[in-house]
Amino acid sequence: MRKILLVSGDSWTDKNFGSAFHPELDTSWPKWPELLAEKLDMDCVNVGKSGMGNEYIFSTLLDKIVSLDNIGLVIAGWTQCHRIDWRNYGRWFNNAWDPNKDVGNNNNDIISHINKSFRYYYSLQEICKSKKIPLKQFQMLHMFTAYVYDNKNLTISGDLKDRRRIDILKHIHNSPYFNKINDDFVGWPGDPNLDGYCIRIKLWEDPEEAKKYTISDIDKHPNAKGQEKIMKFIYEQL
Amino acid sequence: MKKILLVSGCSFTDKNFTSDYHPEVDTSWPKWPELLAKKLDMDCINLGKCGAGNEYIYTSLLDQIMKMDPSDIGLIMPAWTGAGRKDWKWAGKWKNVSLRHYTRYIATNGDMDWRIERSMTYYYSLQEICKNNNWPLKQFQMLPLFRGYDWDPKREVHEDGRKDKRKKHLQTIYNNSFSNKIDDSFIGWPTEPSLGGFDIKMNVLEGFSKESYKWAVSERDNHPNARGQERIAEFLYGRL
Repeated sequence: MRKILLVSGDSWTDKNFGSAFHPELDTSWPKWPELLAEKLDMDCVNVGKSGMGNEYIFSTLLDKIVSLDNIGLVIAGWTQCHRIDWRNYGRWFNNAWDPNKDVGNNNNDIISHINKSFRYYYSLQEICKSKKIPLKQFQMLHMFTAYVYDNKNLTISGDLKDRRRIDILKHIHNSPYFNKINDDFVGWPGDPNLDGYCIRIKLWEDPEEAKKYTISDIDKHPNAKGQEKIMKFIYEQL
Repeated sequence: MKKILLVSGCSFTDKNFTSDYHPEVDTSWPKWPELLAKKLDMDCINLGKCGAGNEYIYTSLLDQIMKMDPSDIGLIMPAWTGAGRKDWKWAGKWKNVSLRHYTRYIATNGDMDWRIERSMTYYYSLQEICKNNNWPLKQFQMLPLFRGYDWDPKREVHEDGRKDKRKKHLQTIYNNSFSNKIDDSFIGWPTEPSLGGFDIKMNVLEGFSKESYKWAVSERDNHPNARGQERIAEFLYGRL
């Protein structure tokens, strides 16, 4: 019996991803979890879902970890930390259409969003260790740059945004979780200034080169080639 | 050097609890974490906070553990509260809303079944983290997991006659993947009497009945008084 590759993440991982910009486009190309499972000779359980945040990723992985036998590898493709997920009547919802909109309305500030994500990373690491299940974690999308630079509600100048970014990096560096996340997290802590990386920026560094791997100029999600590139990169890190 | 009893919880655990109903009452009596620490000959770190929900309890314990030398830990005790509460942190300050706001925030904060499952995620996660690191843990449910939301214990009626909800929430606990994975470190699991468990408020402090008044600040304020706090400490001590 083949082992299971268990994966969760956002739209970059979603098996059923559809392009919001090009709804007519057939996006049924294989995604990196399915491609990777084939390469590893494993069965794939991919619970990734477009728009979802880190709470969804943690919860769905944990649900499967306790209910599935024969897990060979768990991979978390973490996303932006300020997305919020919830479930009503069995259906998951999120605020990914504008994650900044809710900031300040009975929700965490950016520092607390980051701390919350760190707790998920650490908790998953310790739970997998406790269950003796192999784990790899990746930051698929950058944890907070979208909050700082694409935030309509953060009405400050570019210089101040840069300063805000540096303050957040300092916070990450000084976090008590910073040194508690082990090598299972590839690219930790997800930002080049702290000697880490996220997959989106690492693989899509050159904008001209990136065009080959993305759906279009307006939809930057990975196309078929992009999914293969992600899979190959992750495979090399295992 | 003494080991540390590390505790978090809601108002039933808060060292600085004050009564909203009786602001004039001196409520500085020792709370169960301090009483228990004395019995165990440990120092106490009590992170309990009025109004706090289970996210705060999980977070405050884990953050504190990260900051301290784990070899100093003698025992970790989360005193879990109702699942309906919501916690968040803004500008370094924790805030929360209680179950009274449940309906108002359901559209963007999830329904009660999800909140119950979310709490169970915290219970299981903490258990496994402690197990992996050999940190001693005893968990228990201080307040009913959902009963305050679905059932008004003072009037002894279900809100809006929604008896079906209660049954559904019990099924959520029973059928959840974590349900049979929570081990004996959880005192009174699965917290609901009809499933063979219990919580401290309903079981040890006699719920909201007339008999409970002797453990409470007053008939109006059902938080534990000095005797109630001693009773909680003694009960927990007997279960360690």
